[in-house]
Amino acid sequence: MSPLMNMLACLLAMLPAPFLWQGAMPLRLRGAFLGIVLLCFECFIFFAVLPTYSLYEILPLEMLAMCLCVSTLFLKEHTAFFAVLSQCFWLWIVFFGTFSLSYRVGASPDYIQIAMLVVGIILSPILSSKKQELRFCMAAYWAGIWVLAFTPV
Amino acid sequence: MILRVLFIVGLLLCVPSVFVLDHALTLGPASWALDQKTFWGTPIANFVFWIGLAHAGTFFSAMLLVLNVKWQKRISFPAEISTIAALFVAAIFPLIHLGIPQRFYFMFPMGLFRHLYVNMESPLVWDFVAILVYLCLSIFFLLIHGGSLRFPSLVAFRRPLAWVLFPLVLWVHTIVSLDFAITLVPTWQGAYFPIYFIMGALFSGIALVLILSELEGRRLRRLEDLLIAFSWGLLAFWIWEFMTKGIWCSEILFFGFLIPQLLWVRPLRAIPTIRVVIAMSVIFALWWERIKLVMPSAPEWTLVDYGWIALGLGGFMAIYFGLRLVTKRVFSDRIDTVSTGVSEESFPKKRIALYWGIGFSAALLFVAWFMVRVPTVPGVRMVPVFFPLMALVTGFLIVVDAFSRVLNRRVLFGLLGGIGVILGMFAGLIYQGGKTIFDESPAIIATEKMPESSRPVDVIWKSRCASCHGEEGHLNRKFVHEFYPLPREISVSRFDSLGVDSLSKVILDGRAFMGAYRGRISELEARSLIEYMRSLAKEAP
Repeated sequence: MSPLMNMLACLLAMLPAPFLWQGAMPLRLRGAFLGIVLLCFECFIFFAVLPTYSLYEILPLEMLAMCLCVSTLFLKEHTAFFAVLSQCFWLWIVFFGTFSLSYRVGASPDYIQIAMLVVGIILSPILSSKKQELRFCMAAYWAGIWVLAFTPV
Repeated sequence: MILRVLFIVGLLLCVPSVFVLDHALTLGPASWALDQKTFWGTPIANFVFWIGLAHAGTFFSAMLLVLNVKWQKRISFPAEISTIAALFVAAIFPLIHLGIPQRFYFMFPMGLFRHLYVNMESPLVWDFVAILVYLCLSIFFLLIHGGSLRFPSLVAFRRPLAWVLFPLVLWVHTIVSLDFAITLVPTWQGAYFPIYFIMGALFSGIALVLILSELEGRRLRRLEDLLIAFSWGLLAFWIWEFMTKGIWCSEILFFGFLIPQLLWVRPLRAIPTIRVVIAMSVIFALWWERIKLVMPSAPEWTLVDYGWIALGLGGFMAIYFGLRLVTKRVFSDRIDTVSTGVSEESFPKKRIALYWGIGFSAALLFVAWFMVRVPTVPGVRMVPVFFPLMALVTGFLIVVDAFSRVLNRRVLFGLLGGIGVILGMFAGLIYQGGKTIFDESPAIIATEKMPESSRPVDVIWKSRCASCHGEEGHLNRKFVHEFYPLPREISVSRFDSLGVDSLSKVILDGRAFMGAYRGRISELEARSLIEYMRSLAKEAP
């Protein structure tokens, strides 16, 4: 995976975030929308990343997790609660994904990314306020986690 | 009336399964369909399916409770009972698969106890611990729910316990997925499996709860919406599986995705029979998916394989409808409507923090104790059992606190004493053990990270390499060619041309179809292995 594709993946993951929870959409339609978003991420990874990249299998899920994290910034209420849940989802994907890879390819989990996500979970209740500057900081922090997790192969 | 009929049908279905069970326990794994590619067979496929269904109860009662979803109260009690029933059914299958079910306690993470090494790096041990804890906490949760009818003060304890169960339910199925994801079988390798398995489990669980609520004459439109939503989520995973592994199964797509889309059509959705048929189609699709996953070569089924369907279905129906009849008799219909709300009285945050703290410390103590006994186990691989143990202790403290409010102290201490005696007796049983003698030193089986080697190289070769490369280095063709392209035969000239450095890198970091052994074989051992292989190559005809 090239650094450019990594950046593009980060941007693409943020793209649907403002629209995920917008308006009064029925649950079934929202669910279908989320499924289609994940499908788009899968197609992007399929065409943009070589399968030899060690984290290839979990990249679309990581993109979805990041999308969910950013989407919480557009929520009107319970922002911090859902930001914590979304980051836990991301942490889950990264930890157990790399855990299974550690058995198969000997790669150890990316502890920096895991630590940054844990810090994010702890900081979310403070930073996910109504102030736009702090929301921007959160988005930048998540983008930072994405970029730092990149390992050139 | 319908509950009684279904309970009797369940019991009747259990009759043939008694014979199947007897046959399977007598003959062992030879009695069900297996071949070189299918070495787990239908018991494990059914286990994964039923453990997935067991997620429904906790999903509706605990997860939706902590997320403040109001409509969960309309279905939470039957859903909790379905969890208990599905868990009991699920637990039968790995016991059968063990071949010696009476020795199931060997799965307890005891750590070099009585010269028996319980491999804490194996997901099968994590599975055992996580499912046992999940079963205990689900029973606690149901007890508090039922007890809250008589003692309203218990309602305040539901939410703290739900917070323990919420991550645990996801943890359990993640661990089940790791049974597959960490193996060397190419079609099972998926770092995305944890989320994929959770999605599949919740999807089938929702379908089950929809059927159960329809049977009791209740319609929940949200369940239908959730079914559509999850069908799209699963579609994304099935397509990703196709993209990464080339696995595609049209019938799963038809029953699991296309049929649920009928729920978009309002006139069809309004008919209860159609709703039940769609939910059954989803359950069938996910059961078939597990069968296809565990049995990639589709060997011919025996009567025992068909018997598991009767056992699962009959066992679930008998336990679920039996419990439902009993609870309806004890609590009448009030249990489904009255006591399921969340109490306005909030649980003191300090006390919750204290219980979580004690749980954390207890789990940490266990890990420390285990690692002192078996220092070779990498710490990170203790994580899968760490959380279930923490959840068990925390949940137990919450339940004791809850019942200390409503029960007489004598009764409570009597109950706790009784539990202590049972656990003590069980510990005694483990201590006494059987008459099995283990010839192999536990140090050989331990997957250790050693700075220097103390293990004989031929032992490492036999335990780590011989399964594929053959004991004499002539390849175990029977095993290898089913899954991988055959590696080249070893010869002295090939060894000399590749060199020790590059070969030891292949052993430690893997290459193509060769798995990585870093962390399980030290660098020194890798070099000794190369010398050993070279000696085998010399001896090769």
